[in-house]
Amino acid sequence: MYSLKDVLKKLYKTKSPSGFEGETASVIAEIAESAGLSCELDALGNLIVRRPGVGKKVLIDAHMDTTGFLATYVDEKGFIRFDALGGLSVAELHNTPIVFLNGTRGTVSYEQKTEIKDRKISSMFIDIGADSAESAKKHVLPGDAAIFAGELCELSENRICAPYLDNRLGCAIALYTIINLKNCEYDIYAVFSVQEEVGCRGARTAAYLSDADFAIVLDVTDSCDSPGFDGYGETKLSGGTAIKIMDKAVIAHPTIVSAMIECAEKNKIPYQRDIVTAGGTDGGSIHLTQKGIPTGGISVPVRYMHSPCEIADMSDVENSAKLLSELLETQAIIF
Amino acid sequence: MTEKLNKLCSLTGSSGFEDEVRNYIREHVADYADEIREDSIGNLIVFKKGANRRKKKLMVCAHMDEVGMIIKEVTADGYLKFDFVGGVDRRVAIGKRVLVGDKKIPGLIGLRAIHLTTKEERKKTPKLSELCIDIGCEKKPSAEKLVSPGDYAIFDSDVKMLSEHRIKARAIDDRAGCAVMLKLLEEDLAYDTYFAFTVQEEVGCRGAVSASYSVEPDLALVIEGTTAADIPSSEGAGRVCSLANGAVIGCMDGSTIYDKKLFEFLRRLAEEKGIKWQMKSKVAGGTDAGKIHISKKGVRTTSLSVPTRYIHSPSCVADTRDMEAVLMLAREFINSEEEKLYV
Amino acid sequence: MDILSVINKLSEHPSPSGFELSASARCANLMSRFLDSTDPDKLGNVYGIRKCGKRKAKCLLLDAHIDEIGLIVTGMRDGFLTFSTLGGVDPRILPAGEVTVLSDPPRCGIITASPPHLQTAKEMENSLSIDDLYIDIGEIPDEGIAIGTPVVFNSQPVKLRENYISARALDDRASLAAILRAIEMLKGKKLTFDIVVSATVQEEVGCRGATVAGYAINPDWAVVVDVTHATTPGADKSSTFDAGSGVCIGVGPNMTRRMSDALTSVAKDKKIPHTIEVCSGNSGTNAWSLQTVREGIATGLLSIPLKYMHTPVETVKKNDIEATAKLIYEFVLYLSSGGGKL
Repeated sequence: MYSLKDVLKKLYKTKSPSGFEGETASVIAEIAESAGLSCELDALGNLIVRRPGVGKKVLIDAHMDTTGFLATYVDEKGFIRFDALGGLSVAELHNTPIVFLNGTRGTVSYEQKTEIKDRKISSMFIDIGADSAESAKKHVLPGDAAIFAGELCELSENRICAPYLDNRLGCAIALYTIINLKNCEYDIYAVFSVQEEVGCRGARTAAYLSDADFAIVLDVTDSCDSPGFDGYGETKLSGGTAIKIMDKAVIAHPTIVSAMIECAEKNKIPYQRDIVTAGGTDGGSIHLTQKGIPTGGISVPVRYMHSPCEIADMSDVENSAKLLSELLETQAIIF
Repeated sequence: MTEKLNKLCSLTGSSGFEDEVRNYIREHVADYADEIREDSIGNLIVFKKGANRRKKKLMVCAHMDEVGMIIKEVTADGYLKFDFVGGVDRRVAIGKRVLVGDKKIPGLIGLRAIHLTTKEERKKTPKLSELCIDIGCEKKPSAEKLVSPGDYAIFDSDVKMLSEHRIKARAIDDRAGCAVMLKLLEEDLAYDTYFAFTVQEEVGCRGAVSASYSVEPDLALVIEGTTAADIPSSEGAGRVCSLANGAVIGCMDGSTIYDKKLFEFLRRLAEEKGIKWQMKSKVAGGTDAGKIHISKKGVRTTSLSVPTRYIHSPSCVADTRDMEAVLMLAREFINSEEEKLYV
Repeated sequence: MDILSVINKLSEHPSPSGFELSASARCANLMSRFLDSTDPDKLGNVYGIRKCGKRKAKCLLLDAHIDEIGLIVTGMRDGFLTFSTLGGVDPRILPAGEVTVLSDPPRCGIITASPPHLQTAKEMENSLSIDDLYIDIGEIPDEGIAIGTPVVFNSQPVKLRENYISARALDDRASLAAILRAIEMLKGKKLTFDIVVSATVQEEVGCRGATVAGYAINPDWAVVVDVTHATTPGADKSSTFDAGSGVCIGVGPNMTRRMSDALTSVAKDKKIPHTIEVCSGNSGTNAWSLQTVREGIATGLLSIPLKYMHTPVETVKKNDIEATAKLIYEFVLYLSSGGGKL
């Protein structure tokens, strides 16, 4: 049987920038199927994993996609211009190693003459070591995608560092939980969604088909405890699982919020109440679907979000999984 | 097809006021369509049977509307205050002729003469509140007889051939797409196809939301006019796409990551049939696809576009050969064996 | 009905965006006085229904939102509460403002302000940002104030001279009052279609409730009633409307033209004071959400001129609410008698 960390490590063997999530979907499907759950891909590439039950239908959502780079143009010297897949901060990109989906390695660099404050994605480029357009195009064509090259490292104090903890963590928690559920009456409709980073697009169509009674979104949230982060919020690394109160796209349904808090207290799971004042999650798309799907969220605090070196605490990851699992196995949620 | 474009570009259709274009299209397709329906928001949805029944639905889509202006207020001295409808760069509007309302009252957007401005003022683009439309009326009452707040206006610009292949007109975005669809409707098609002529693309792809909801397609092809910046002041990737380089196959824009498999399919099709094609070298803008692909349970969506210079201005320029390339590729796509679209 | 008493009733129950559940239950109560039945949904929208008795009758949706702007507690610092906003709050109105923190029990709070004696003239030129402001609730109770506790402005409705009413959240309670007034006037009239009044949630954070309401009700027509900016000193006259000038009828792509045209012609015929309000794109109201729900809903927009929008002292002239009610009433009768080709 897989441990939570095993699942996470499995996911780290795959690449899935927005729009290119197929590889991750097949690994998730493989694990879910080996646990006897049925899987299905929809028109946009969302992976739906079903664990039927007699109770209310609950949509569990975690997005599979990550930010990334899309090659748009190869110049005569073989340098590759790109656009961002999702929210890339220019500050994170200077001379950063990247890898294309086909394994081609390279680095992002910038036009030397531009001042730091004037640097934009359009003044940056990828160098894959090619010496001409022809040689570059043997490896990379416009339309190909790349991601940060980086691995999952273990730091001290049970903390981990890697690119794309957003949202490998949410996927790992959702997957690990549903394959290990024992006494769960809820009818589980788990969506590993695509294209969250470009505007929560996949969750929208997946939610439409789900016909769920309520939804729980697994994602990461900003940890506001590194230097200079004062005043942005109270959510901290190692502070426990983060129960969503609101983000820019959704105000969590009060009934779900109180059920989560009750469940965490009953089971002595460390938790924190999470308000995000910048950025949204799949919940924004889900809760407005059809006649409305009450939505809540469980998040893992992450430092340096969308950078090549995001940091999280495994205890928060484990507590999030514990909360999700207790919620599904023991908590009544009544609307 | 150039004739169709000529006709379509002579009609007005500021977002929300697409009547002229819709009426023309409805009349024109009556002989070729098996079903024509106008929905609540104003889309015209035309169904045409093909030689074969399609197991899954295909919707081809182009928008009828164009950027324009809407009158907000008639001033005491007979000028018209206005807002732009859709994304218009104020700089292209200044000193241009316009037509106001259904009566097509001639007017213009003036600017204080260069002699009366300071050097500093000339460095700045005038604010929208400093611009107004002058229709020649001297007082509010006489202007109010002709114009009411809420009336639309469009740039007054005729259709001209600049050279053998280069056409200049208003609203090539997206009458070019409408022209391609009209042409396809006249032909015998291999498969059943829905053609959606949509409204309000320029104010947020509003019509496409309704059209895709009611048609419920499995596949969609959006035909558009897209930004070409192949002018001397741009270089490399900044040119986005170029006139006479063929049909633009959609990979990604600001609102859509297009279906990968359909992208590959179109690319192969173009290569096989010797149709010129290109990609955009910049992720920018959005199309009706942005709303279509996330409709209901999700729609696999692709796009073909005609590169268009000076888009959203009174004078857009496109190349008729690119339009032909879009037409050919769209035709090949619609007539492709259905199974091949699902591998 | 007395419009002020309806507004008073609605004002008793704070309903900051996302936290409307208890207010919407009370609102259902109030609506049931005017409508045959009421029905809440899971997000907190309340629907008041008036059936015409016919099967498969068409349906008109009359929409006003019940949420109000507010604040939300994000943490505690040195005995004060830190907060963020729910909806568009101008930080300039906050210093020394009185608020109600909706904890259990609710607590009165004051938003902090530095004494003028300690500030330089230059500092006073600059407005403060939310990050510089805190809520002072005297002493924080032992159990603390939970992160996520909503906060509303504390202000009681008051009657001013010449028919003006001032209260918090007249955006959009003035509109709901207008709709209910129209429904009351329609009492006993036989109609050819059903009417659903929707009091929708979360408009101030992005017109969210209306998306769901439109889907659930699936009406043939929708008329959204909201507020617009009334002219105040210094405002740009081309985008504001004089208080007392009647109801504003929205025109532009966001409003289905046959709806705008019908509303305008009814207003003209019945001599109801009105002005045309032009929106070149998104009207910023629930009309934007409703127009493209499902296959698309024929949508109209009526607005009531309101001064000092999104402050605790929003001010409206009662005559404008009445004009709006009158237009809704006449429009319903027009629609019921055939309504052109709507």
